[in-house]
Amino acid sequence: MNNVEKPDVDAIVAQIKRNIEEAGNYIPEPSADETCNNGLEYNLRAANIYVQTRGGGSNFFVKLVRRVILRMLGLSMFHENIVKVLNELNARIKNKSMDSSK
Amino acid sequence: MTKIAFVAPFYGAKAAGGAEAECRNTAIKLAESGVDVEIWTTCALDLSHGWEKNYYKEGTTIEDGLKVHRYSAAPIHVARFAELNSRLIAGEKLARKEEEQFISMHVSSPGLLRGLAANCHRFDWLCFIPYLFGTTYYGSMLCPEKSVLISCLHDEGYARMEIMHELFLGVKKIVYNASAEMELACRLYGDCCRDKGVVMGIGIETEFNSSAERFRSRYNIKDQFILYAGRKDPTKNVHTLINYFRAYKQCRKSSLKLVLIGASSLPIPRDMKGEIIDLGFLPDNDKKDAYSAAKALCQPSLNESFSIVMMEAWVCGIPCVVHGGCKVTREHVVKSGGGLYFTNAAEFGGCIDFFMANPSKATIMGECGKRYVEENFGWRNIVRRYREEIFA
Repeated sequence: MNNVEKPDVDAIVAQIKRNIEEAGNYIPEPSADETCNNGLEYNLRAANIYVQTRGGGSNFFVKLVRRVILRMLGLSMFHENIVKVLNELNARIKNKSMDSSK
Repeated sequence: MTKIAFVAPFYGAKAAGGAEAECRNTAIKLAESGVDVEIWTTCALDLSHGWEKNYYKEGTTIEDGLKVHRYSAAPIHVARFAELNSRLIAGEKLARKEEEQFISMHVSSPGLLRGLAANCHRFDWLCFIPYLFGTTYYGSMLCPEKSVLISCLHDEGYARMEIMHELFLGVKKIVYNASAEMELACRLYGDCCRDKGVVMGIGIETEFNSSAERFRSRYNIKDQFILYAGRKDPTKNVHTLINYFRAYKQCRKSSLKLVLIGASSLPIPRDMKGEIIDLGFLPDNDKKDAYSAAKALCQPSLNESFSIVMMEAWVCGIPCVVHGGCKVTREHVVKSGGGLYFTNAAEFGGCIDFFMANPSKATIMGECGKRYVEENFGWRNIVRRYREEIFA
């Protein structure tokens, strides 16, 4: 195996491309309506995330109501709560290291 | 003795995913080499099963010979998360507040942070994997001077979040799975990602038995086939492979099949039933048998930071055909000589024709791929490099 020469992959692919050109692009590109890509919604479903908010639309009123409801649920505080935990922990770590250095 | 904590959103033998496998295998191999390793993670099983509910109990257990600390993930608002997630996938730039909301819901755990903060003085290094999760983003803020990011970075909407920029700048060291991944990090976040980065790759088991005959008789597949191994969702670009294979079959009189293995399922075009065979998730041994039986492995994904399945296929001696739009997988085949790449249906067909018409060259490519894996990603080499280049 050690004596086997490593194939020049770029050269082989270039040759394949030349063959295709000479043959006149003999396998056509599938058109969009043949595709089985189900798009973003499928993607989110595949990731186990249910698409519940899509279609909320660009309606300003709907957006406003959603924002108010999210605020009522305290959602916008998620990050702040975690940062608060981090700050507490950092303060505790700093105090501990200052105590130990005394 | 060097003491290391691996911090990950998911951990366990049942957790599906490349980063999950990388975390578990690297932790186990480092521990076997004498490094003291602990795992800090959540109670969730894996990404595809969601993290709203606990799969594992909270607490400390011994798994794979390692101490594993599990904490509940913070609750999320599914609808809001789905909205932010879909906008990120579509490439939309989120406002800073929205980015913070997203990451706080993307597997964050205040309990884990508290536990880690109380214990981080016990560790020499904290390894966070992968880049996109709350466990990594918040956890690395606790002790940035000890933080190693095993990034598994992809060229995707998530990577363009401002908070990810801060993550990459904040950590002490970064481990990349491929040089193309490091170049992407430099392009997105600056040259410091090169200065503190090490291109490592992922350790691969290079000695295992597999049998083509066993696979063919167990799954009753007599014809030659191209194999796809991995999660079957559009983020992996499997739909393109299905479309290209269908186009190939419509232009060729060939008994060649496409066999899909891995979690989840994808709709198969009606006229391709019997030509495209979805075997679902296979046990590890059967997966390796499938590699040995295949004519070639196709990796159509545009967003790979390494591709473990390519390495496993090469260990079994078959060539790989990859999408030329993915820098990482293309780099693998060009560097190794272990396969070909395509960017459209005609080139895909040309690559398949090449393998079918040149079996001896296909075999040589498989052997070159195997040599590439053994020289670069054998466990002995990876463990030595972690100990000397990351934890020294």
